[in-house]
Amino acid sequence: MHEEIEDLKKAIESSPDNVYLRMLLVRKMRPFDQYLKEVERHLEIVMEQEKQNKEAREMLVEVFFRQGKNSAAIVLGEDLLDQTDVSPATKLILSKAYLAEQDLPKARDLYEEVLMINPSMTDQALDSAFRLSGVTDPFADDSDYFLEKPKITFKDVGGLDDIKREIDLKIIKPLEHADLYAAYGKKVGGGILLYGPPGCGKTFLARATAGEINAGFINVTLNDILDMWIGNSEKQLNAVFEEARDNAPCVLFFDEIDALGAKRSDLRQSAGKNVINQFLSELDGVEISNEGVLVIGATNVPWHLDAAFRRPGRFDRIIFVPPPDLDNRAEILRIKLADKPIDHIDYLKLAKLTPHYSGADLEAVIDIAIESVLEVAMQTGTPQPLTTDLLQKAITRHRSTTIDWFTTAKNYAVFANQSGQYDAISAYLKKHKDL
Amino acid sequence: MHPLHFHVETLLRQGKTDEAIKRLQSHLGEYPEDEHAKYLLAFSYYLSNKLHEARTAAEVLFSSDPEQPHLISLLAEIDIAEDKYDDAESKAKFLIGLDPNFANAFVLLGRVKYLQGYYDVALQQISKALELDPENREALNLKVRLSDAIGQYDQARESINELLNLDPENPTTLANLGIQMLNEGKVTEALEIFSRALSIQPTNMLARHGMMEALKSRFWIYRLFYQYQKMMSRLSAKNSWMVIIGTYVFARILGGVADVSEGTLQSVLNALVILIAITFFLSWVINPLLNLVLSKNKYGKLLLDDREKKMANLTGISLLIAIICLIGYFVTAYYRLLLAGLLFIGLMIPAGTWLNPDKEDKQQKLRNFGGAILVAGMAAIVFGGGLFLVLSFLGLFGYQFYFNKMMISDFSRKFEK
Ligand SMILES: Nc1ncnc2c1ncn2[C@@H]1O[C@H](COP(=O)(O)OP(=O)(O)O)[C@@H](O)[C@H]1O
Ligand SMILES: [Mg+2]
Repeated sequence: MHEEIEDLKKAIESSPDNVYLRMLLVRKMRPFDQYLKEVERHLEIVMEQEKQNKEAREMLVEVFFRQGKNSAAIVLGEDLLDQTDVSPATKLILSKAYLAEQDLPKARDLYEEVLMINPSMTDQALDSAFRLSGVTDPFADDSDYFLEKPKITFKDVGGLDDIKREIDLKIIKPLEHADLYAAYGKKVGGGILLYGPPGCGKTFLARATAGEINAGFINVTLNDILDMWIGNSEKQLNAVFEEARDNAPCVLFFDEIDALGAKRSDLRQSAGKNVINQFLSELDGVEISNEGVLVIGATNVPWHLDAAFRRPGRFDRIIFVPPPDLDNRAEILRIKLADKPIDHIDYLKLAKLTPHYSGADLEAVIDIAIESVLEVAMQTGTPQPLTTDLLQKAITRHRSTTIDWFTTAKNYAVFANQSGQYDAISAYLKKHKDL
Repeated sequence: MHPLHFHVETLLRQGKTDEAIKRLQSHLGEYPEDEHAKYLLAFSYYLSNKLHEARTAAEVLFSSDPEQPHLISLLAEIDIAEDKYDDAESKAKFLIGLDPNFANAFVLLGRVKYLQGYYDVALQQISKALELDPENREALNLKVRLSDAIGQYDQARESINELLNLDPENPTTLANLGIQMLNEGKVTEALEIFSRALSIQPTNMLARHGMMEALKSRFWIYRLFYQYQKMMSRLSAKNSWMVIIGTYVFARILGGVADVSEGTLQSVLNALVILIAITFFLSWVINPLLNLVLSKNKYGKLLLDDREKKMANLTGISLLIAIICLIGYFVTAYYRLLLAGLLFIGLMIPAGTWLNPDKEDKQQKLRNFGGAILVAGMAAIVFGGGLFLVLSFLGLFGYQFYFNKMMISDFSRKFEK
């Protein structure tokens, strides 16, 4: 190995402009700590020759980090993040650099990102900092899930008043008055299942529920659920529910819960219905009043939901989360613009211009408007507040994302509503004939 | 296996192709050498109908290892999706060469042959596949379609029963069962079965198609037309033409004989000619007209696609204008109104058919043809007849032949030596 390195060095001396050779050398030397300084020097040369050489830049981040030059690694890494797709490996290094610099939020965000891309890229130091080892390793025995303490509450959620009331009645009250329920021997179990078009606040509402009662929030993501298809789903599910119990009061939220089953496929199912059944038996064991664990599930594709979810005692409230109506859109805009520089906005007018827009769509509209303001500010140097006019222009540049959903939903509501599970959608469609 | 491969396979089973693609792309950013991930990416692209990306991805893999059966199968599927049947066929044959016991290769070849209209050859290939793997669902499904296409309804039923044994809740199988019911004229039963199929999977194309046929078959006249369509689809291109031209010549002869005969015979012959003309005309417009009726129906509304709705509306508008003009003519006896009425009756034919071909260039040709007839007809009305009248009538005839030529060469049954 080291002879090869010497040979390469000689070759480069005779043709110093050959980037390919130099990178070859760098790749050979990189694993060895004693070469780090030298590698750094070669990489700098490469970057003089090829400013945008991504591989070289990513390696340099690593080389900086390994020499303890954390801030150098961070500066270069942030540059890279702004400009290109950075490999997860580099992100992981950057995350470790942040951790070393005590910038915990950034470290965590990046680490989460890395794990989303590749669950097996775990790192001991980061794991113990954020206590989330097991999630990412499907074969691990015990899992610790991210525990959040959401700051948003119901008042950050525009509209959806009926649903807030229902959640209050069904899961918040039993929790707050646990002793009362116990005195009468009333058990409250089961959970709430939210469904509806994307971006209309299912996840947001679940988070706000936790914030509302100052409880913990565990978000079991699509990734976690997919992991359950690989490893020991029983253990993993058990671990999540235990984690929620340990941190009670706690909202245990299963996003994209339809992924627990695979109803849609025509392909043969290997894992069968195991995952669903294990989930349901865990759910059966939960008592809100005794244990302070609230289970909420959400899905954009209720038609792919296994029928087992609908049996009584499981998710016994299955709630349709519709797009915001006119007043709610105005309210959401008001909430989202509350902390932004604005110049008296005609909320009602904007709401009228955005039929069927979801909360996320409205957020996107605001984003577009802000971008256009920033663009102008760059040129003129004077920042302008957001105006009705600007937002109106932004609306023309973002179309509603709920309409496609309703096209599919309509078919289910008409053809597959024998047991009435789509009544709420039918009712909504009746009120909104233009969908 | 890498956890990501598991994740992606689960996502694909659940139909979440976009999510799968997203994950594979970032995974490959990190592991650019992961061949299986590349294959999964190509496959995911194919599943989400991004054929160009799918082909590009698959061909890169193919160039480094040209003998991977699953890769060749995927490329053949892409060929099929792009209507490149000959390419798909040679890939199927190559696969059979690699492994003569690979049932799916025969299914592939059978499907290509079916799509090309070679029903009999296709059936042979499917039988070979079923010899190797008697429970091969795709083969059984194809056998149903093929037996139906060549009119062997008993055999179709048999395969349907086998499929129902394997999976009684499969929407495609149920839809096939419904189609058999329609063939036997059992409209009520068919409607029930299609409803069941749709309640399981409202997006199932075959069930949607069948449901529409069933809804239209509630009208007796459509039932006749349905059988006529089935019969025509069983003919070769040559025989289809023979039927069309034969009927036309026959009607002309009858008309000629009627001209020289007298009394009852003449009226009977005339009535016969008119009947043939009406039937001919109806065979062109019955579909769009009934689709117009369906588009007012709670279910029909959802089943019709945009093209069908557009044609139905245009045909309806044409008919409405024609009726108004003809009423106007009977009231005022104003000759130009009669011309207009006849013109718009004729225009129902292009209005109800021009979007039928799948390819846009063909649709455009038909639209231009129809437009030309409209212009000539308008000129005829302005000039009160004359050359333009002849032109627009010839145009209408020409359109029918032109359209038939397009559709018959695309869809008719072919026999191979
Ligand atoms: N009713 C609402 N009130 C306030 N914000 C909303 C509302 N609905 C959606 N949003 C915004 O849109 C974003 C996406 O919503 P999310 O809850 O993730 O949608 P879903 O889970 O239904 O797909 C949220 O982060 C939130 O900012
Ligand atoms: Mg969500």
